[in-house]
Amino acid sequence: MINERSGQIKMFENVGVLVVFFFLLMTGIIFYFSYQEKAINEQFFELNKAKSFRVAEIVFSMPELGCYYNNAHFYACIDEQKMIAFQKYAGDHPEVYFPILGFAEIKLDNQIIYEYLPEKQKDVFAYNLPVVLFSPDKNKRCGDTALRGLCEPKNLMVKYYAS
Amino acid sequence: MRMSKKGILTGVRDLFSSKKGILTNVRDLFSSKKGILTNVRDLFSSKKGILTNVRDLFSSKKGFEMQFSWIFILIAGTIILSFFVMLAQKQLVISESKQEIYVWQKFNDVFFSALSGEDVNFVMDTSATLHFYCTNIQCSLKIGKKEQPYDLPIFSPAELNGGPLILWSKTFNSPFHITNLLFISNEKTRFIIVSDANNPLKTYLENNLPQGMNVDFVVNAMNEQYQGHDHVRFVFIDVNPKIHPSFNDAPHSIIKVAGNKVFINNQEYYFTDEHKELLLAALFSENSDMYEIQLKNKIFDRIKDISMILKEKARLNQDLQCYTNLKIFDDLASTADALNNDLSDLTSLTNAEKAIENSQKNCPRLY
Repeated sequence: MINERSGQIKMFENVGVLVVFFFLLMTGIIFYFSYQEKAINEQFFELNKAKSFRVAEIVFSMPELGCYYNNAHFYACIDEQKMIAFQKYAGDHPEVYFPILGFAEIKLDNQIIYEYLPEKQKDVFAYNLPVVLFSPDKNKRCGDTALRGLCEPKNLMVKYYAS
Repeated sequence: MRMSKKGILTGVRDLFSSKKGILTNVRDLFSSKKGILTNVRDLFSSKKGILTNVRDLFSSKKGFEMQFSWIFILIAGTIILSFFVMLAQKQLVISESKQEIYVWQKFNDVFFSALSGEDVNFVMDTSATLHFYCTNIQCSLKIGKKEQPYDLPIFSPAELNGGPLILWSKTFNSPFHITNLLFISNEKTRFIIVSDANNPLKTYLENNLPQGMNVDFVVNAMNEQYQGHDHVRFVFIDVNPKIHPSFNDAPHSIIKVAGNKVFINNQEYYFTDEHKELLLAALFSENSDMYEIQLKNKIFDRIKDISMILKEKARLNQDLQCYTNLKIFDDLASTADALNNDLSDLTSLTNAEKAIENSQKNCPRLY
């Protein structure tokens, strides 16, 4: 009788040990996975952030907007005449540029170049980048470059909406 | 150990109910003089037999306690086991996600570089499997569970099982910059280019294919045998296709080039001296569908859009007595549009390009 009772106590002890063991294990696992999830979300955030920066870079390099001379590309330069044409064309055909630029708002100083906003926004990344606005004029020269025209420093604002 | 005569269930009960506690008992069991195997043998050879022991056990009060112990062991064991299985699965998912993010980051870098007009020549070491596929509307890249549509024209096998991946791009101008064509291959895909030694297209390919690609230029394909590659692509330039019998059951495909025609899956396409990049695109394409869709959606549509924007730019320069004939831009756009229906008329494209090129003389350059 005494043996059985002490055996029962031992068994409860064992159960207790297991409960505590599982409790600690579960707590540890919950912390571990929440940390991992947070780390992955952070990586996704960084990925979106990098993507948003690329949108700005894409704007510089699009043949529809960029400055070219004999197909040689001038970095961080926007052709004013192309920009005027692009505003009109992208406004009339938003489906053409959405796959390239996504949900974004792109302005040169206060002039809207491209605007396509999502219904629901998650994260917004905004950048201001210095650019050169090139206006063709055969009597002028843009710095030391082959470009004939006036070059003015401007501010390109890119707002990218992660979907 | 006393359990040999009593049978296994009573032994287990003793194990749980003794004063010494379960761990001490287990230790005793393993360290007993008779040894554990002898103990187990005794258990099964007890006079009453194991089944009788079990019946006795369940019909007594003590038996109920025993039954509980067993159920407890089973449940606890199952929980522990399933818990670790779940843990392993979760860990696998996490490591896959991390690998996917890494590959996506690398790919976005490459896509961006190519999109921004820079020539890319890049080797990416990855173990990830890449799937490229196209619908009528768009083409997508799938790595793991995540897929993403891409805007660049990418010419690649439909599936690439790990790296090192070779990525390189080539500018496509018509006559102004349109886009960069991105080509992807890996070492497990072998190209065998069969032609006469002095064929000009062979020279073009030798000069334009990137280093590191698994490519062999041969005169006779019959001398080449299957060496276990994931895929072997034969390109026969002005030569009748004939391959070694070892390729009969091996994954391979044949592309035939005759003059300025290229045959993918027996579909006929064209390229010109001005647009030899289209030959490269054909060589790298998985099939005729992927080649056609990308040409239409990512090249000819872009020609149409950019020529419309340049037409507006040209209009703004008309007061300088320049670009008086804006129809040339419409011609280029309509030629590109027509190519969406019939890919054969590349000569019209070249003519429309030349007209725009000539219009720039003595005028502010459009591109």
